[in-house]
Amino acid sequence: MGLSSGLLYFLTAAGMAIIVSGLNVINFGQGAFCMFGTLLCYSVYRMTGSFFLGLLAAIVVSGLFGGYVTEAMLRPIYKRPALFQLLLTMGVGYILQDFFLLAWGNTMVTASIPKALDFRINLIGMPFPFYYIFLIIISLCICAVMLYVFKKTKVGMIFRAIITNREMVDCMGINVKVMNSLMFMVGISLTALAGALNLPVTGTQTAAESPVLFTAMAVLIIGGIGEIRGAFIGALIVGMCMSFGAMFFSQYYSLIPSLMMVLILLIKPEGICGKKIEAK
Amino acid sequence: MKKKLVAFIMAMAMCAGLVACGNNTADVQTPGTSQGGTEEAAEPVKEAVEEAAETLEGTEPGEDGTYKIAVMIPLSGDLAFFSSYFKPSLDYLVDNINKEGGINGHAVELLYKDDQGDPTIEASALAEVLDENVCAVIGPFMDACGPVVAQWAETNHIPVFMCCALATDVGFDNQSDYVFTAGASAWSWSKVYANAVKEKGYKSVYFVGNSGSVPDNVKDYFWREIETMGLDVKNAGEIRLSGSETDMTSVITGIMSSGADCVVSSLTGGPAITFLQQGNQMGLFDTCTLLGVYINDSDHTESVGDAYPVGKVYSITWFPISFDFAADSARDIYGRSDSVVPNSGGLTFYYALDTIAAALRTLSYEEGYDGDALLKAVEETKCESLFGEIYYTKYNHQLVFPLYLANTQMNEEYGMALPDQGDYKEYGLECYPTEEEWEAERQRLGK
Repeated sequence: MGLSSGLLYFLTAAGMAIIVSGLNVINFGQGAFCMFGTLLCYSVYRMTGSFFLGLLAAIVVSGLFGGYVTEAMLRPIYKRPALFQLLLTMGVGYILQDFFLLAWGNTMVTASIPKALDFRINLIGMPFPFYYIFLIIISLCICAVMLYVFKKTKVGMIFRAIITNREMVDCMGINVKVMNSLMFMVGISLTALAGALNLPVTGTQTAAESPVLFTAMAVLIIGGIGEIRGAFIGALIVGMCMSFGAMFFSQYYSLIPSLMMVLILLIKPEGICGKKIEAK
Repeated sequence: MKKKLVAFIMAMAMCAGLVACGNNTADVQTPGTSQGGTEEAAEPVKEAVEEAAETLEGTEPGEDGTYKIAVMIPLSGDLAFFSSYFKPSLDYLVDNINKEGGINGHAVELLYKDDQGDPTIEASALAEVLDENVCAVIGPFMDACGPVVAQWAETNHIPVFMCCALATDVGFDNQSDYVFTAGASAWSWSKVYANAVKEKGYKSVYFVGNSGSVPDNVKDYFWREIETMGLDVKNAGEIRLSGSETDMTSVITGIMSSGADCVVSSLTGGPAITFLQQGNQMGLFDTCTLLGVYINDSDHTESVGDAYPVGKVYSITWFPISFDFAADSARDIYGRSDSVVPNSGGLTFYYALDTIAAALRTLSYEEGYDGDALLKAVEETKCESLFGEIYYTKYNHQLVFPLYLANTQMNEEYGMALPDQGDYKEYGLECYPTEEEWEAERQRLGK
């Protein structure tokens, strides 16, 4: 169970990692984009009866909206200090939250697991919902695809080059701004996908702030900021620790992500997979 | 350096997130619930209330000869939604009273004040109320506002009829001759749960709740009742969640591994719904029954739909107007608004006003504006309700009305879970603390 929770955190954290590493921006609106994915999936699922169409809508629509945010809002302030961009993403998050309340009303949104995935299998004598296995499979596939694209393809090579030396890539005639928008769109789409996949599990409450942002940030810091591999490892550790923590330290289990984050910051500030930062 | 800066900002954001989690009382609350912090919430507004009380001196009967009653409810902000349940009930009753000639020939006027469920706004709204010469106040419904209103009532000698579910220790702090509580009581819920565990023969109980003083009460009094009853019930564990926590995967794994056959829950709102949904997905309800509160009569349950664990959820409810014996009369109250569905919170306000009106009928118009005379009249008043006789106890001014522990079913007409009329038990006076228990607890808490 911890594995499936952890891998959902991974999708959100990976989305953040791409944005942080590519654009050097912490997207404080990430939680709102996650909720956007849930709500889009919910509406399309209700309208069409197809959960998978809902997933697709969440990925595409939120990705396009993410592209609009980069082009129309972030691009004009690229040259400003990072604080401006951070505040802008926070503002976008607040606007989205209010929009959700207007469009969907003050409500709790969940949905049934699609019929094809709604059954349980026995694992080590315990009934295990197949949908949670589906979540694990989807997340692992996405992780594999992302690692492949980043390590083995030309686009991935450009992304890595931008992370290492943005100016140099610009000099080589590659349109870094377009690549930035693309990275932001991918990051947002991943987060929206996490939200959409979460619809039949936890759903969302339109009036509440998404709790995902907090855990995803902990995952990111534990794994190493801007590291997709780190986000994966961090998410697994957090998910499993929370699951075992609920069994053995049930009263304090919700403190686990923040405690682990503090420990990592003290022992290995760059995170498990992060590169050591030399003091200047 | 950049990455260090980013890490630092993230750590700061995390701290901000933690602080926000601790103070978020508005997002998932349902009527009369608390996530704690009521005493802390009262402190910043204490001075404002005292200042308001110093500058104004009690009330006098209005020159127009009407009974003015203030109603403190959230009419704007995140919680305004709840007032769509309360206001139609009050308007319906006051219209009926006035159509029948008012109270002893005097019309009743309700003065709605928007408190937004916020103690600070409550204090300034109460200052306005003093200017308008009211004989009584109905509300608030958010626990956090309770201490502010109690202090105001004590200072101004104007009876207040709260509609929230105060934690017992806060109830002691608030206790004043002028404070009446029409809302439910956490202690009573515990007594109902303990009786249900005894009757259904559960052997191992796990407690799940939000953090806060009401859930603390539910848990503590529950285990005390179990001990008093001499039951051999195992405490399988407990888990506490922040109000915004919605991923129950770890929580449910913990419960399933504990081997509990019963979960007592004080979860409300979104977390309660997710608990039902994920519990059903993960097979929790194959071996376990849930005893909870605010699970039925909640339109949040609509979203659970087919995943609702029918037959495995028992919920405390009061004023269940979906029951046949109450439905026709109660629908009159709500029939005025298509968007409103049955809700016990609306009737809590309704009966708060009904008891005031009954007491005022025993007094002259001038006496009705004498807080001491009104409170004595209320103490002596017994009203007929759709659910039998209701009245306030003299020792703690708690409105006594039956609580029902009912199995819950999804109702297609309303599109949400409602109590099952074929599977419920009614608890009357036995679910309220006796005068002896109340006094013993006061001494134990040193109040």
